[in-house]
Amino acid sequence: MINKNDISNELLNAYLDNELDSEERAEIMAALEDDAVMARRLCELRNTKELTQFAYSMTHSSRSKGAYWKYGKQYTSLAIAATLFLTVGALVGWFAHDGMYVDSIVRAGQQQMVSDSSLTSLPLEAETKKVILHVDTGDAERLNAALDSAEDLLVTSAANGNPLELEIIANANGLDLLRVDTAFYADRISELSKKYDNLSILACSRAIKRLQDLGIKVKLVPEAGIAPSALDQIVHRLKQGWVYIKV
Amino acid sequence: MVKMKRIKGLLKQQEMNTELELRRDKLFRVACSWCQDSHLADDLTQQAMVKALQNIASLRDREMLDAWLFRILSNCWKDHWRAQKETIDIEDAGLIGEESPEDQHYESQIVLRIRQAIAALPEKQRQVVTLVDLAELTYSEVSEALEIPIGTVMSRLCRARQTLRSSLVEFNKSHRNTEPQLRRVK
Repeated sequence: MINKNDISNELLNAYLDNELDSEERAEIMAALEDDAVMARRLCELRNTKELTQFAYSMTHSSRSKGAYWKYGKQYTSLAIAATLFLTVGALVGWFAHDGMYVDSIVRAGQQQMVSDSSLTSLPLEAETKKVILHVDTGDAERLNAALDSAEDLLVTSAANGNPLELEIIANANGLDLLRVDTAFYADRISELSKKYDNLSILACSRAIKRLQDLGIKVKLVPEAGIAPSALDQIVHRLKQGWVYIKV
Repeated sequence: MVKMKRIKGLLKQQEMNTELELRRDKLFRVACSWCQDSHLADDLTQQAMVKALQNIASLRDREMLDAWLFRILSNCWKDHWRAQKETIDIEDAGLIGEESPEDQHYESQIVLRIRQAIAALPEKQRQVVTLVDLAELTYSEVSEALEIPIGTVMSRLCRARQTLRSSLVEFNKSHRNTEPQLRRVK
């Protein structure tokens, strides 16, 4: 039996590297459910491992008998992980340290600030952070990455006691994230919704109608609400001061 | 009878050649992360593969092929450093901070920074983290390859990942101060 207080980073690394037996894994998984700080430590370790792999994922010996195709899929998923490190990572850091700065994102009314470098160092105050995560692709890697990012943000904000409001909005092919008939994310979405009441999920009614017009019956996860238009919702949130991330 | 034995021997060698060839890219990646020089990494990989073929008889357990192979690579790397020690100062080895035109590219910047962070790790930590993450060896195989106890593998890995993490967070902070704010995540 592993004592929760004995779960060191070494043990978390062993969990991440699949070095533990099933009993130890189950104990750590149970501890992770109750301890957001530990879950965040694990996220960070996983991120570091993926980045290390990403850094060399396209490196091949000049004497190699060409095996690039084998790595294509892996590269894509590692590239997404690396890119999200610099976007969601910014937000995770935002919760972790006071006085950190947000970039790679658009804040309300800052469209004009994109070219104004003086505003990139605008310190954020300890207020409720509001983030809208926009998904418009049906690519499984990206949908998984979107959920990973949402979870990272939720876990980190909870762990640090910083209030967060997170809204996921799906349109176009991104609707796959919320469709029970085409995707496999229903359990995870339900789990996240139950655990975090500061998470809301919306589907674009125009995207739903487009599918219905094609004769496709659309059934969404019960947690999903409907927004009249994803784009209007995004603009509305930006005006209200929300941070926008597109995955 | 002698002919049959020779044919079997040849088949075994061919089989081993294929096994080694399948591992060439992994060996190369790890060698690259150790020496930060693709030409040298190619040479080290080739040396390790030749030595492996020459000494295949000493491999008792085929299950341990990966650990055995990376131990050979590690020895080739040590031999290289022993040979170069008197002529090259590690500080002058050009490991860190060289920029190329492709640095302009967003992903390349990330790749470069991660490689720099890996290169800046102490040698012993770098070997462990690359064998686990790039070569995908188990802790027990790393222990076998580097001839160190599993506990040492775990502690070096832990320190290496912590250092990498801190280094990448620093990069993330500095990156935020130089990049434009609007980004589409691809």
